[in-house]
Amino acid sequence: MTRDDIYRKVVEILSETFDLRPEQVTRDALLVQDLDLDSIDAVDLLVKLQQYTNQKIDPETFKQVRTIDDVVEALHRLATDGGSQGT
Amino acid sequence: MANLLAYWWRVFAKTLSFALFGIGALLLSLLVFPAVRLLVHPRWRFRRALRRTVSASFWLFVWVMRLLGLIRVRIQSPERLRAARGVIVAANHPSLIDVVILIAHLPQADCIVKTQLWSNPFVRGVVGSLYIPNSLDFEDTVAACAASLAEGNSLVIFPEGTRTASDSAPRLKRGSARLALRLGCDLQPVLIRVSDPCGLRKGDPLFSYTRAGPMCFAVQPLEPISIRSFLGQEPARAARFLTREIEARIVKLPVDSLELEVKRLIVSALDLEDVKPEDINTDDPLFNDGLGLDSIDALELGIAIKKKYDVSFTAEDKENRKHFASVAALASFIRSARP
Repeated sequence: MTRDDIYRKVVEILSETFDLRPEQVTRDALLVQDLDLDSIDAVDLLVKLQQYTNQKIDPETFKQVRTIDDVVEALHRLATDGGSQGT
Repeated sequence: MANLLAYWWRVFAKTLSFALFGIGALLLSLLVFPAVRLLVHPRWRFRRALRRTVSASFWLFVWVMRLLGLIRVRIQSPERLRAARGVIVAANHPSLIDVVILIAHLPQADCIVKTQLWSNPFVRGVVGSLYIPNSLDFEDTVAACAASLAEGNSLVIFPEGTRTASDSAPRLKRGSARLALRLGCDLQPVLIRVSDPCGLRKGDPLFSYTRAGPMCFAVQPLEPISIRSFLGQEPARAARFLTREIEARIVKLPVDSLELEVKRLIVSALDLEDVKPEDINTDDPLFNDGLGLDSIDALELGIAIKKKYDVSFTAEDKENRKHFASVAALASFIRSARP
């Protein structure tokens, strides 16, 4: 799975879940400031991403996520090394 | 001179009110609550009695502030507040005493309160026995609110999360919508308008005083929002739609509705055939080069305003000239003078 595939899926998930226009979900969009996600949304997002990846995502690794690119990067890492350890 | 006296009276009255509030809260938690605890059983009845006690105490406190000439309070359809049970009461938050005025009219209110108050020596006894701290995580908040609604309480939440900053339009957080969706309870939106909350706004020093007259609170419980149509969809989306609904009621409602009323009154009282209320600028002069009214018009308008708002003008020509300067001036005079 390439980063582009992941990005497309993330756009799909975000626009469906949070009523965003897909073009708002750019790679450098900030989740909180630009896309107006709050802490409860973050939990929802984590659940959606876990359904998508079929893996448990440690909320701690998600704490540093700020932008859409960070999300894509985290998911990519998860896919390549099973997400056991971040680098 | 009279103005200066009135100012120092307000300084005294506001300081006294703070003292009364603090002492009252201490008395409640140290004397009244333990007495109620001894007399009323079982636990749920005792907690309901405490909420009634707080409501009555707040009502008394509001009455004292009115007597001192600090505030005027007008509650439109108070029966909606009395009937609020098992619902979330969502209000905008222009001033420090919104919650006091609301709970004074809600017989059985719970409230989500900022956690810092748990370390305030005066009020921690009261908030600690009755209210829900805002620092709980979402699931714990849901559980606490569900238990509270099951007791038949109404749950006061200020969706802005904090008092309205004076320099920006308020933005609502989505927590109250999320809670309503999870709890499946309806919302009672309440619009609070204050003439000049100077000294009680966010960021105002606690002991700052307004130079204008008493603050006028208009509290307006609006049509309740039914949760039914929001259930059964993606919660994150539904929370956004619901928050927009709340926002449309308690934030985006025109704050200058009294101004609009005055414009309509001008048009109808003076039979202005070719002027529409919307065409009159709020700040334009009413006489001479503005709207072109004359002194007979002023007399007629004065009578109409007196009749509609139950306010009286002084015999002093200079004062009246100021009140009739513009729609804005008239509206602010009506706000300060009406009963």
